[in-house]
Amino acid sequence: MGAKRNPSLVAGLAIVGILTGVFILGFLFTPYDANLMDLSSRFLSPSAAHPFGTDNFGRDVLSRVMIGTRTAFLVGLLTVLIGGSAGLAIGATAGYSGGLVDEAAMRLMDAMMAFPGILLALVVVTVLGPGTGKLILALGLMFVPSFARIARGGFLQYRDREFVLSARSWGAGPVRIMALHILPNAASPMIVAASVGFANAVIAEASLSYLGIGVQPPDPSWGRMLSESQAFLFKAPWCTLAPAVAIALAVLGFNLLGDGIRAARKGGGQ
Amino acid sequence: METPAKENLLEVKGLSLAFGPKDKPLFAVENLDLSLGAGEILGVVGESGCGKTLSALAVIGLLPPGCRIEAGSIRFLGQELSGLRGDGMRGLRGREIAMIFQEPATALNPVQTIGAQIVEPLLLHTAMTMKEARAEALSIMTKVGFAGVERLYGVYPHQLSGGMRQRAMIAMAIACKPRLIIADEPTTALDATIQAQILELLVRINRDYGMAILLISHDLGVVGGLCGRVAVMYAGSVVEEASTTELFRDPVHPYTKGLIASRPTKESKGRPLYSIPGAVPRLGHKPSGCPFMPRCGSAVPSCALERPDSLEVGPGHEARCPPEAEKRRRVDE
Repeated sequence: MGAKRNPSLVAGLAIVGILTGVFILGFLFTPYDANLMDLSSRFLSPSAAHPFGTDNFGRDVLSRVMIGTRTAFLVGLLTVLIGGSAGLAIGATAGYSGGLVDEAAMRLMDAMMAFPGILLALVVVTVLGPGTGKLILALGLMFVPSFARIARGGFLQYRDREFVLSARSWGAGPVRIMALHILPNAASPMIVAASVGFANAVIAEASLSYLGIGVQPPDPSWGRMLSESQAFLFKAPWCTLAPAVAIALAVLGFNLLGDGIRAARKGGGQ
Repeated sequence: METPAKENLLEVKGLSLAFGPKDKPLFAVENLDLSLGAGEILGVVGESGCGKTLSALAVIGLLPPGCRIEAGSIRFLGQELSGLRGDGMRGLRGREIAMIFQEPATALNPVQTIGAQIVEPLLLHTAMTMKEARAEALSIMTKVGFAGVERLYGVYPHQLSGGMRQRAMIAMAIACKPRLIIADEPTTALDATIQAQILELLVRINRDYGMAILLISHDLGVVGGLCGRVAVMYAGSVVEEASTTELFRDPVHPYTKGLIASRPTKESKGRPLYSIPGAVPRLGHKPSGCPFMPRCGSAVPSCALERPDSLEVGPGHEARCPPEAEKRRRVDE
């Protein structure tokens, strides 16, 4: 599969690959301590010593953006994991059982979807208090309905296939059939959804952190870096630009990856 | 409860399967009787839509949603299956009763390897470890005619030909050595040359393992070559049942006669084939008398009155056509 046939996949993989590289590098090496304040070097514009400049406390922006990938990846991954597994369980059960179970589960999902997502997360954080863990829980909850819908669609599509009947004919139980026979067939839309969900989680984390209810200081998060730097946007635009570009890249990368996977699964037959 | 002298492996009595509302049921299968001894091959023949597949699914407890057992009993090894739910039925499926489907291309899981699919019933129903199950699967694959089993163990269904897929399907079905195999049109989706090989394989399985086979087909030729006994189904009931030789030598029911007459033979070469006029009555439009009457060339007025009973016309030979049975009796006397 060349870049010509699936440019989204190649571009998405490249961007996500670079971000992952930065994420891993962040554990081993950052140019400076991301939380180290140096009041003598505030608002330094980008230079060889500080490629992305420094912020209002004299912290190195590049180091903070690098450590910020940690937050973004952690939140993105866990959110997708929580939302995806809960959504999969609900959607799979609903789609495979059909009837009343399906109706009840999907109406519940509709009700959850009717809340604006950010508002739902806000309520959860307000009730439970701020913190990265609670933020992840809130976002995960917010993502359940969309995953549930996608999973339901896949399971509904496959439950009446003959190979499912065949599996039942040799004694496979419902859980076994759902996990071993339908899931591998219905997985590709879930993988696409997970990739796009990851991008959405990055945005949502940035938004909530921007609102000040996400990741708490001093740990760097791209969203909070944006909100902290907006007061001196004209004085030190690099402080805003760096996290903004990082968010845009992450969102673009995971969306492209999702598109690419979708295209690959479609083109690959089966 | 009276127990017959020799309990058959499968004993279906008065089975009626219906769709639709409880107070106005539409019968897809009506008053079906079938019995199958251990190690026997019984052929069930009939046109599309006569209830063959539905009856088979009822035996294995996999009726489609909306279809229910309205009356009758299905006894397997003396155990009543019609009321069995969940785990009880699941324990029998695959272990004692297995099914071979018509279209192996859709009945095999496209994203699992052939080997994995043969191993699964073994792991589920026996205490085998993965290693033992794998060895067993390889030996079964050899048995059903795979050459180079080590390599084919890891291939996916789409990499195999239709005949090979059906062999894989059969391997899955016989994996746990069930006593009864239901083969629903096992050769319909295959080329004529492959068809013969698959039928031969079924006979070999029946002979070597003593597994009883309920062979469902619309093709009298397939059934005739394979089965000791044949039941001919029409519009949801068995209209005639006899040993294969008897059935071909002396068919009683006009429908059976029509089926036999419409087969291509050496004598009929070059002449157009006979076809039974009309079509199977649709569900809900069955006549109240004999369902075959509208298409029957030898119907008499009494045929329209009520559902005909199955009458014995010879040893082990029953037909659901009272006028014809009456004729025979007169000839005999």
